[in-house]
Amino acid sequence: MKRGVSVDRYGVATLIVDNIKRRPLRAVIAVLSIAVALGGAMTMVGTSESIERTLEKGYASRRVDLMVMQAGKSNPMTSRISEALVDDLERIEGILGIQALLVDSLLLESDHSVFVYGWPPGYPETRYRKGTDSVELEHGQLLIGHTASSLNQLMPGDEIELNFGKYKIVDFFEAGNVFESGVLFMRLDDLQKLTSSLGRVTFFFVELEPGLKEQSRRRIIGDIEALSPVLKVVTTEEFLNQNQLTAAVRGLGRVILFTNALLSILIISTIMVLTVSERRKELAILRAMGWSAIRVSTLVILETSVLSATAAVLGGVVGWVGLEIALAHLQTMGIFSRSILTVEHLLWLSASAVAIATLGAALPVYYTLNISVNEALRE
Amino acid sequence: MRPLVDLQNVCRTFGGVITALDDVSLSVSEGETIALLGPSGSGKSTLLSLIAGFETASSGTLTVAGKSIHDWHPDEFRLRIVGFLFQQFHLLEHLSAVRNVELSLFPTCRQPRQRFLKSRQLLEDVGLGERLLVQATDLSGGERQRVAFCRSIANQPRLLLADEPTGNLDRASSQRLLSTLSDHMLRHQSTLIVATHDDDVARICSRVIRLQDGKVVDS
Amino acid sequence: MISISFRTFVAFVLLCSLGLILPPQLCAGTRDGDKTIRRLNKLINRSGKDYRVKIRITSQDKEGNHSAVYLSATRDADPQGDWLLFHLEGDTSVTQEFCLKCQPDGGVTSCDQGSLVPMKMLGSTLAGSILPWEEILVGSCGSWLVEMDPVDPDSDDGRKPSYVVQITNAAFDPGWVTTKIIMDSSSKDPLYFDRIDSQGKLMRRIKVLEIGGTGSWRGIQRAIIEMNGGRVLMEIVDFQKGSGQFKPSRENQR
Repeated sequence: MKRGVSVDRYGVATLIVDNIKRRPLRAVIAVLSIAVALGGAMTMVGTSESIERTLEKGYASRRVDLMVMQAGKSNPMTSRISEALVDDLERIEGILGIQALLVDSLLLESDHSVFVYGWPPGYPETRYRKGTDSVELEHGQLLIGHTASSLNQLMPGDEIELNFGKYKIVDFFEAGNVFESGVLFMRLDDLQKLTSSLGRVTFFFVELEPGLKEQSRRRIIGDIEALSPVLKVVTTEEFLNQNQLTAAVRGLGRVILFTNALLSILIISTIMVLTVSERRKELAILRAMGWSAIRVSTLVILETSVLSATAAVLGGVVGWVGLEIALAHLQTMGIFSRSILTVEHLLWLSASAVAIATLGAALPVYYTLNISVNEALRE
Repeated sequence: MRPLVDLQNVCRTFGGVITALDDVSLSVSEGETIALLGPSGSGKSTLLSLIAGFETASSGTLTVAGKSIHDWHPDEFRLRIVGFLFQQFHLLEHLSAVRNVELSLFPTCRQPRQRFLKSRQLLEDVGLGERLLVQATDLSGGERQRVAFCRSIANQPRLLLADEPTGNLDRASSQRLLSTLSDHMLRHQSTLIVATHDDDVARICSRVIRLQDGKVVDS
Repeated sequence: MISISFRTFVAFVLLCSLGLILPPQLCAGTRDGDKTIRRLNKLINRSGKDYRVKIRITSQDKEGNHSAVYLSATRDADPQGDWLLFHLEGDTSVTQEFCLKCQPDGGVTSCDQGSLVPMKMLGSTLAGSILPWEEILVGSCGSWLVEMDPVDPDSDDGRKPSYVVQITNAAFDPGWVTTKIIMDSSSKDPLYFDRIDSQGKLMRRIKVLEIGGTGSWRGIQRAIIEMNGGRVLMEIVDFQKGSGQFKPSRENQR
């Protein structure tokens, strides 16, 4: 009786797959459990990285080297510093440009909050096209990012209420990054008046002269902080690291990654120990046939590896889907970023699979090596 | 000529209380076919287990193929020196006849095709050419034992040990198996030690060693 | 320990689900109402007595004029005393600062006076009669206790239970005002806090807009208050725990 399988190709790979197929439910449970564990960890880590990378790109597009803000604020968005400091900042050698920005979270139509950026006149963020001309925003006018527009179902021409103030959306703002696509833009003086923050801004974005050595950068930071004890200067990288959201998500991601990796190892170890226990006699027969202890153990390790690798691939898919869902949910909370999955992530996933297979196979291999051929055959 | 198997004053006790083998000394030359006869509990299986390296003697010396059994690497020993045929066959039930034989060739033959061809040949030689792909559970007792026999000689061991090979077979299957064993021994001049209480088995052997209560009573 | 068979356990769960053998309380364990009360208490009571909070209060009158002020409250509680420093700035004619001492029974005195300060009187010294100053000040020292509404408890026609909030504060006349909580459609979060006067008339309605996570002063991040004179938006803009150190190391003698 012929079978569909090619009869002269029975190798180690076929042997391993056949062994796994003999316990399909167990294999599926192991693979799915580990896939979910790995995928969940990947979602967490991927979410924090995506937010960070998106913010990084945003600041890079603005040529921001340093951020000046109020010291002692765990949430940078609540920073408030004097706008007048810009004159002192301009006098510091090495500074090429300064952008002042006021950021606030305002109530839209007595319903939910939105982020609003207030830029001084002369910036692209307060200019829009009116016919063929580029004009400045007037008092009471707003620009809206495309993401904010779709999330809040607002279009140019709409009149809205922000913290009881009336404003009209005159145009879209073509944001250079995903994050800014989710906010509204108005004149700095309008936002200052609305929030009773006259003469105050949240940040100064500082652009430095290109090619400055590290020593010069430190000198500039020192000069800025010497202007006032309430000032703190951070590089964009430090700022991103301090970002509460990304720090929290990153920290949580690491914890979840560690615990999920441990969980995966325990799952695969338990499943394989169970399998080895059930196959004691079978493995003893192989030993009696002349299979070395190492060869039999290698079989166990390879079976573990196949399960881990399959779980890793599936975990990658789960992680990617999870990441898309997480970022979509964050968008509804006003946190905008784009999914950034790189080759590095795939390498990490592969490394996790190898680690899980190696560590997860340790106990089953130990059991395999300690099978007494004689005893097992008597069972 | 040095014997292939040489036991000197070998004892095997369990828990210091039960003596399975008591001061057993015997030699087996290359090419001999030895029947170990004796009732149940006489120590036949224990003796075979010791020679196969599945168990360790409590005292005495045991040399196989010129080396003490302790000096042999167990995996090399079971691959090149000794083949074992069990009463219970011990096939992998989820595999077909040819796969069971192929498995024993994994350590010595890297090419899957070669493994298959060799296994097929062995099975054809014992009349199982039409049963290659039949799963072990679907084979008769006699067929299973012939598959087990092919598996045990696939790597051409110098010594074949058989523990009650016809114990679970009907008379016709037993006769067939004995015929197979006999042909193989004649063709390959292999050494065979078979533990049995069946006189028909003893008849195909060149020498009979009787065991009683763990002692050799007649050699 | 009671030992039951697996089948018995499954049967118990199924029958509880069908409500056939035991009242819902026993099957469900803790009542949903108790859980909600615990959650509401956690939501509106602050944790810790050493903090700094900044609230933005944006008011709009009937004519549509609007303005914003910032009320910062710094609480410094230690064996020397439990003090609250309020700082008011923004669209006001003058920046105001005043200090209150919280008494153990929840009563309030001025930091440099011994006698109890009537809350209505204190409220009237602050700019903007539209603002619920007395509730902010009184609530800062006292505790807010959520209970089931004794007038309208869990009714038989299947309507959801409602809750009331009592302020436990010696300076506060409990008969003065009652706060009733109207839950949202999921019955998990509060939607409205209705202030009802002693005659049962609605004084004002506080609509909860946003409930914050950790770090929020009282959990409620944003609320709008509809009043006769207009409406007020209250937003927590900053909160820092463990940062309220301002009073002198020794209390001034009167």
